[in-house]
Amino acid sequence: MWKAALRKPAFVYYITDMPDTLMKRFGSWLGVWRGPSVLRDGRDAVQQMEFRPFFNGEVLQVDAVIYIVKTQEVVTYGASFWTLGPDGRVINRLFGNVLGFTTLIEQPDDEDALSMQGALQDNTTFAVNFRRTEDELHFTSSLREGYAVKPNPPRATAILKHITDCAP
Amino acid sequence: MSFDLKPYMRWVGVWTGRGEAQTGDETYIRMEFAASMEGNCLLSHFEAYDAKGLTLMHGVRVVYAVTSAGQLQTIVYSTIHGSFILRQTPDDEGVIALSGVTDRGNEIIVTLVEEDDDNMLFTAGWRPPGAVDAEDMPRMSASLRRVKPWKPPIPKA
Repeated sequence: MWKAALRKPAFVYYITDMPDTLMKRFGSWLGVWRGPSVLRDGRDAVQQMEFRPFFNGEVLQVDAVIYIVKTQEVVTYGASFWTLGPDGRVINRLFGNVLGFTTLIEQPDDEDALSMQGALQDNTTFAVNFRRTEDELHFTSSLREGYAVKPNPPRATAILKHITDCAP
Repeated sequence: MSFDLKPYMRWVGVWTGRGEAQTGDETYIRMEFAASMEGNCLLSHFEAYDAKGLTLMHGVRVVYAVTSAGQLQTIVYSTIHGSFILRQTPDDEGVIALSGVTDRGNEIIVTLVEEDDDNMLFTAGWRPPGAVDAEDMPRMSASLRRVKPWKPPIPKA
């Protein structure tokens, strides 16, 4: 029982009092996730994402960083605020050092998936997809150039695991 | 000229003060600045409470970053206005002035003026869609002071 409690991020207990529907949907995502990533240019990297609630769960701040393990070089970093729009879709206000500022809006997808996309200033579309399994968060992102939707744009992928307390 | 965020890292810390809310009521304000993303971004967390400090009247969380074009922009979440993006408006050094429009069409203006190392003037206002006159713009302003920990007096020998 004690071991089981230790393995849960502390946020899990905190969020049970949060009534907001954003937390009902993403409460189990809170905390730090990390795992191997393959960048759009094929390089191997590590991706870390942190999900933190603020203002009684009205908003999620999601910070992300991707770095090359061998060189410790940070390739990408960014921060975003996730909220629910009036229609219940996720609105993601995003800053990324590569992408700049943009707004991603949730797109229809499977029940266990979250897809968001938005336009960038240079006539490209940035799209991300999260798919949650029991203990993993599968992440993909892609940039589509122009108005023509190419079937297979280059994707960055990552399989992230929840960072939890050490259970002795 | 590209905006340089580094000089504003000296704002990192906690600032508090009393101000006047848009309703005219007195508010207690706590604003915390922190470096974020390995020092490439600045983050602020603003909380305005009623005079008793029991009700959060307005909470705002902001990430400040400089675009590749050299302009300061921010992503913002406000407990009143929701999330939106604010962009820099030209101003003097030691001042961060931002403006933008929310999804509901409200025009938002925020100004942070550094008066000296320990004092800052904060002003924020918003104009509903269709409002033209300045009087139509609810405002909040406050003088904020850097918080320094209290130390017990050293007993005289």
